[in-house]
Amino acid sequence: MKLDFALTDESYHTATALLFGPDWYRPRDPERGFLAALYVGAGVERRTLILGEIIRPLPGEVQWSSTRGLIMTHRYYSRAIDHLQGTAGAGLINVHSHPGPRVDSSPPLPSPQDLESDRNELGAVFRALSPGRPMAAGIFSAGGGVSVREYTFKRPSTSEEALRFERRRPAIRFADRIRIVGRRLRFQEGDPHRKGLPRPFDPVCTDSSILLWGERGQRLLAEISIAIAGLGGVGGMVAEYLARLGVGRLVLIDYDRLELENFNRSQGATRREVRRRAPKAQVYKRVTTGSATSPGFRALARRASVAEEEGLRQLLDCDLIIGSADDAFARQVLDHASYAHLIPVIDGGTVLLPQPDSMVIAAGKSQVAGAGPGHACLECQGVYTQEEATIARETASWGQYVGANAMPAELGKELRAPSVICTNGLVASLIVLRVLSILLGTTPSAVSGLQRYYIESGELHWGAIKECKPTCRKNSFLGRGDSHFIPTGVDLRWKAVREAESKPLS
Amino acid sequence: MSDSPTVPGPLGAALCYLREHRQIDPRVDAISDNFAYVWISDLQKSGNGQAPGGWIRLPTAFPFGNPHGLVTIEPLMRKDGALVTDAHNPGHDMCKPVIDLGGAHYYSWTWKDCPPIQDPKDILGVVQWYERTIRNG
Repeated sequence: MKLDFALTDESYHTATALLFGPDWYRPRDPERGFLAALYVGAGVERRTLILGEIIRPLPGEVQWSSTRGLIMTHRYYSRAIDHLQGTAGAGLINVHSHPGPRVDSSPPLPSPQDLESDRNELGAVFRALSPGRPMAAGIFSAGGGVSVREYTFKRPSTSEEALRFERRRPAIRFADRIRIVGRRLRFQEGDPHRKGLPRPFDPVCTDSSILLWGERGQRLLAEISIAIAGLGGVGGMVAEYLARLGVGRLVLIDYDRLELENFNRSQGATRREVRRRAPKAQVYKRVTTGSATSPGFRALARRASVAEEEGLRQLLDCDLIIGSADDAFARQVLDHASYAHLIPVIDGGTVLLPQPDSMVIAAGKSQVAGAGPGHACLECQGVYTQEEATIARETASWGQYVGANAMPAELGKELRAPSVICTNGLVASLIVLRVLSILLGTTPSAVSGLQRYYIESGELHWGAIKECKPTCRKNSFLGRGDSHFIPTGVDLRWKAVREAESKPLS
Repeated sequence: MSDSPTVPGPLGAALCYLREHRQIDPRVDAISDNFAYVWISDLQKSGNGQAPGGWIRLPTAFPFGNPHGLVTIEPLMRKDGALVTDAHNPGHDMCKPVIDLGGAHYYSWTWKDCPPIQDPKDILGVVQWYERTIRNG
């Protein structure tokens, strides 16, 4: 299982200011440090350690000793334990600086003194806190390198084991990668011992895009993992675009099957697949595997709903989530996951309102919105409301995208909303442009917010909301990982499909 | 509450808050898909001599979802003795999870146009809203 260490852009700046702020280098007092809460987010193939609230040291709580190195006092640890005990699921990380040269950005290696003090201090904290809380130590170097190692102590179950506890060495594991999440998404190597080469890319196949973002950008795309929740007209196209751009790994989630009724907008799907009612996730695994340009490309197909716990866990292995399921319930789940697990979400879709007895489109909107740390949430941007999410939890009817309430009553009775492949293509393109902006910084002024295309007038506008409302509570669970209750439940549409498929054929 | 179905963390916290602040023991009698049927023993009715109590339907996602509907044993009456007709569905499917306990009348009231629910503590206001809605008929 992979191990990531994730933190918000804001936490990264706070940490570096504490460690390398004004007069950061003092020959007699060369290192600094702090304690912070640590949370865990567990996916299927990846665990993420998430930096929580930083507990700032008071004067005298962090000291330098020429013989023992950096010392965080018992008083500081006690204060941190007091804070963590009242916070569900919170563990502890101690972080310190390595002064070194400012040019070296490789992950710093801990010294034998560091390892010794971790064993003693984190071991003591581990025994003081309730079971299941993560323990880790981190180092930030002056050159920008970061390494984080997780400690696993075996909890004594007998008095004899408790006596031997001090002498037992904990298991240590370095985070493979550091993920810094804000308006942009940044990655750094995390394991100082890593010997493997970065994932390769194909310079011939991706020649035209390397002209835009260089080999560094192409390598980053090859390293990234993106989940697509919903493989309808929009999600299917996004999947193929990303595979062709050189993204290294896609997690494709949809419970629906290919049918004649959705064939007209399922780009890349074949009539043969319609005949055997292939699951959409499998169809797009085939499409993306056949069109991927990254030599190490991997696509995982999962028949699930992201509104349910099982589907959600698949998303937590990814660095970015594309939400293209027309459902307020799923959108609410993704919105929560993006803040709790520090995984940005880009959501998109279209609504089309026909004019009865004519071919005129009475009204239509295609829209794309980004959410997650550094962005306003989907709810504050008006992409869904709690009311709509509640209704979606209550009914097995097909969802609508923007302006669901504006649907005429007679259309609301229809099982499916109108949809055409050209608007799907528009939304897919806007989503992928947003992906590139967040990952590579290709369009810095188009990285955040809601973008809406009004079909009847042909105008593209940005939404006015750039920040969450003052009453929004998403920040209260920012980076809380599995400690935050994500409002998953039973997706009634998926349940109905499961029940229909489990019935024996008569 | 010992034999009640298990409810997720925030909803459990909301019920604890209700227990402390209303001095009652809210009982989760059933969970059906995404909604819990919570028996509120002192839910005040306005009808003449009607015994208090009813099942409020709370989303398991509470406070990230809104309440939807009320199930009662007897039909609700207004102060003037007339039956409450607003969204009254006798014998509706939504009664099924508590039908063995006597649930027979479903009032499909939604939280539309009500204040936002953001915190488990908002449960107190939710129960008061149910009582107000019954009073207003």
